[in-house]
Amino acid sequence: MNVYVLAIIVGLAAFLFIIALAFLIFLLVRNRRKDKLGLLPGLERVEAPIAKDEVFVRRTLDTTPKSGPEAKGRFYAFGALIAIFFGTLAVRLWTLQILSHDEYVGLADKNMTSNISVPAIRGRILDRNGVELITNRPSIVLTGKRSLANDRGLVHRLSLLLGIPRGVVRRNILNDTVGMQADRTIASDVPMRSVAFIKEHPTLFEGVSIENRTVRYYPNGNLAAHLLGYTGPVTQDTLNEQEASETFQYESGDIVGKDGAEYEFEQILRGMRGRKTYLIDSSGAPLELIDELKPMYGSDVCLTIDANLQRNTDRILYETILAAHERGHVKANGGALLCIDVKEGGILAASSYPTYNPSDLAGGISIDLWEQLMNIASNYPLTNRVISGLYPAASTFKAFTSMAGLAHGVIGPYTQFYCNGYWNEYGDQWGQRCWIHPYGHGNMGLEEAINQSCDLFFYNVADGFFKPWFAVWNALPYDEKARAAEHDVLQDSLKSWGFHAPTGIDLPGEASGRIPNFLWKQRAFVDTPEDATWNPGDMTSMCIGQGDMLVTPLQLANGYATIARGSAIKPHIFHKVVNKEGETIITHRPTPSDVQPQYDQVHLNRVIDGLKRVIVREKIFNPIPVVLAGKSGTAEVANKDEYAWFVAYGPVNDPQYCVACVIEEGGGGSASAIVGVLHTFAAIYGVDVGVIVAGEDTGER
Amino acid sequence: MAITPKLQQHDSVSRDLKHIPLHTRVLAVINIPLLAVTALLACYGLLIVSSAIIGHSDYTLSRQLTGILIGLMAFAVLWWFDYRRFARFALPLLIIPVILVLLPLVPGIGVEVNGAYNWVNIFGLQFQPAELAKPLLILAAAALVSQYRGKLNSGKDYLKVLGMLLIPVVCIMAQPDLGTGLVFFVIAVVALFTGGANRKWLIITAIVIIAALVLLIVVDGYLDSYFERDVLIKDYQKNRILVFLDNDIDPTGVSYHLTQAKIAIGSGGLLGKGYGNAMQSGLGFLPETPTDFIFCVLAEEFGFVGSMALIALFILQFFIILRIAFTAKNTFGSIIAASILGMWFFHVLENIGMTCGLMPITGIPLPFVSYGSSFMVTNFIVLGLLCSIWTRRNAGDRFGHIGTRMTE
Repeated sequence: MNVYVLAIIVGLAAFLFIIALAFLIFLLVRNRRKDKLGLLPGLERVEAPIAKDEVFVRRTLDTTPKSGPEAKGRFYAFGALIAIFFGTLAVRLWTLQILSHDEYVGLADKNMTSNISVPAIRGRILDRNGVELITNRPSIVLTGKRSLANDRGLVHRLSLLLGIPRGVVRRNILNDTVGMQADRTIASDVPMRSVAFIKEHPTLFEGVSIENRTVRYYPNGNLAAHLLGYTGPVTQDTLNEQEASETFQYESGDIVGKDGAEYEFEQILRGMRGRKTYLIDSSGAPLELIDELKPMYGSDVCLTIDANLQRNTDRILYETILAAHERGHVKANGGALLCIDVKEGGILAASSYPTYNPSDLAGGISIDLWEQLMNIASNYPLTNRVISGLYPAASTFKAFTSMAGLAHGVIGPYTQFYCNGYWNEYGDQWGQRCWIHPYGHGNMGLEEAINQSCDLFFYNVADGFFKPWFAVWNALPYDEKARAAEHDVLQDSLKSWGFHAPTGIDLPGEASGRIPNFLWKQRAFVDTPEDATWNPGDMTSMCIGQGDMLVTPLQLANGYATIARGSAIKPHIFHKVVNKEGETIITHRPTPSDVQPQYDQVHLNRVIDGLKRVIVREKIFNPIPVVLAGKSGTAEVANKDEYAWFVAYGPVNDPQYCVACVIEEGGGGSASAIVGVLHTFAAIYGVDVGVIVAGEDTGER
Repeated sequence: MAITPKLQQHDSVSRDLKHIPLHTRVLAVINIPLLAVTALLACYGLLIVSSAIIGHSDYTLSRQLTGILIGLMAFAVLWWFDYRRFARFALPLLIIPVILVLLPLVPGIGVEVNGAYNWVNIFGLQFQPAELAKPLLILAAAALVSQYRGKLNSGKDYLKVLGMLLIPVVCIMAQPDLGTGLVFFVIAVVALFTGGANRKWLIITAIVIIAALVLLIVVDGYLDSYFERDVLIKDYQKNRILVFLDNDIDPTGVSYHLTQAKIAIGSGGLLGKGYGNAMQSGLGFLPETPTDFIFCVLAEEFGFVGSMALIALFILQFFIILRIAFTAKNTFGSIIAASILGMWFFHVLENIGMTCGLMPITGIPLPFVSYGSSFMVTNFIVLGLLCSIWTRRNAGDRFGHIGTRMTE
């Protein structure tokens, strides 16, 4: 009805009503013989004629109190009740509207606005040339609450629709890796046909929601899996921490990096969630967009990896292990192979075996798979042996021992020792053999000792360090023996080549390695004090890379790169950051290591000459068109077959690549690990060196 | 003075009014404060309702205006009519409300809304008969109680009156309509209280009611578990009590209404968000805003000042009515006025009280403010009764057995 028509009708009606009312009142009070209204009792005390109307009116309105004390009191009680209620109400309204006003305004705003979070697409991971290593792809995901698992009919229907066994559907729903309260992923990559069916039959699939997500996609399969790492749903712990520190980066169900580069560069890759704020009605339906914050997509990270080389090293490492099997080392089932860019310190390729498929882990790890990956039979495929694997460096370590000896004058560049195959400087109970026994190498200079890996030469080096140390240690009072650590000249010298501390590579989980000294031994043998002494044997073992010393393949490669380059640079895999517009935002700058080795260039040249001789002697390197320098190693590990090492860099005049390879229980280094290094260099320089066959283990070290 | 002897026999106060000026006589019969306050209240209510019904297609302002117009006519008639004539018809006045209350249960004319039969539809005219039963019940209660001339001491008589007045209360529970049932009950209690029922009986009644309620709650628990379903007291009723005891027990569930009502009131602040800006009701967070939660709309739009203005109007109105009850020189009129006051007071107490968490939630309308034509007509009917009582406040007992408290 029109408002004006309404107003006219109402006005007319009111006018008529007032006239009618006036007429009725006139009828009531017109002068009649009978005073039906009882007006006059109130007038009795008024003298007529009335002089002033007011007096009359006041008289008329004068109330006569009720008879009976009970009735009177009850009216007062009623009045008091009314007063009390309205008093309480006023106080209540004061509290609500004045005192708690701000709180309720906040609640009202919360009521009426809804924030919808817009996810940011995670950045890609590329190699140094821009080849995609990890990217995203869309995936349709079915999610639901945990309680759905109890709906047998629904589980059955989902099982039929998705073609997954009922038990698997149920297990997916019950899987609580994403947190107890979060929505569970029932199935990923659901075909459009099934999605359409669910949409057409919403009542059959109540509680199941369809979500468009992006999942990590690995175009190269498990290429460089250990370096790249994997992603998984954000843990409840992280969310709780966020809650505590009030920095809201993640929401339940978000994907975060769990290992490798995905973890290391999380802050660059994840981007920032956007937010849309809507005015909503009580049903939650959005009415109006009030505020919008666009999501900031994650930037792409370029690694120093060269995808082609990485593909080769992954293959070479695997085939080298197979080759070791063919040579009878059937226990060989693990290893690492890496190539460092000597000039910059970047990792060009790094392979670790056994490996895993990161896409299996992308949506959260099932308990079954986790059990498999952590099983001893699988030989721990999740471990990145390049940075976390700890091995005795064996003869490859002799280069550093030489440098230490030269630096501290224990040997000179032309010092010679005679090797008869047996060394008993401290009596026969401390007697040690060279690997050529019983004949020995004869007279050995430094270069030849490195080339032929003469242990006895380095026993003498060790002795040269041990004697003065022992004199210091011996002279110290019993309770001040710890101060002898200040005189660990050899250990300190070795550490300056990057051992006994993480190299500082930008990957999580790097191991420190170990250069033992007597303090360490005291700690390690705290329960058997008779063994907790630093013996000449400890020193000699360490000098040939055996005993209690441990290095990671990365540390060793980094050490050789340091020799090649002459100074220490932190190894890294970060190359640059490219934003969505394709602009390079950040580029890596080489950082010198915290500790730099002190050496004389003449001494270094002597050691390099020794390393060059090794390559010359190993004739299989002949096809490589550049001059290389390298060293083999064969580590003896208790209760295990020997671990094979080989490390080489080149070209010697202008060093560019440093390659290190370790094969667990692969036998002699110059038989097995050497082929890994050879084929890596062959791949770098594009030389065909045939199929990978391990050499015969001659016992040469 | 020409007063005939015949008239003198019938009317002791019959005199000639000729010497009193007409306008003075007119002013003497009109209770100007009552009419003024009520008019303000009705206008204020209309203002709020026209804002609250925006966005509700079921509610129209013209229906509310129709209610007011019909109410005004009824008001005029009842003002003019001598209320004392009702005193003779206690029994019919009690039976008609019972029939009215049971009317919605008759198939064909009863209309179901939200699972309750509160409405009837007769020849296209839709209304709530229970609302119209309220003034009749007030008259019936006053007629029954006033027979005892302000002294209801006999236990037998007390039980008789109480029993008769409880019949409509029991009948309304069949609809079911707890809110209106409580209003009926309050009317009966106020009539007995101001009608001079012995204090002893009143106290005993109170104790029996409390004991019965406790027993009911205990028995209900057993019955629910025995029958394995919700019998006697419904779960939603229990929840309302729980919410009343702890306002924040479940803000998205059972205490949702109270939470939203408090947000609406609290966010109003001192001066409110302005006319037509009640977001809480406009966006649908509060249900039933034109009727049960109308106060929230007012508090949100006009803030503390607006709320206090409404409360001030009610306080004024109630004390004017109290004065009418006090002034009326016969018990019947006095009890009617008191019962009307009791009814309105309970409506205001419950309606505003529940939105602030002072009372458990039960939907009954706010007099002169809430949307609803049936209740609006009722309000004007009882207003007519009040005016009739005021106009005849000095009139003696001319209608048979009515007791009077006049001393002379």
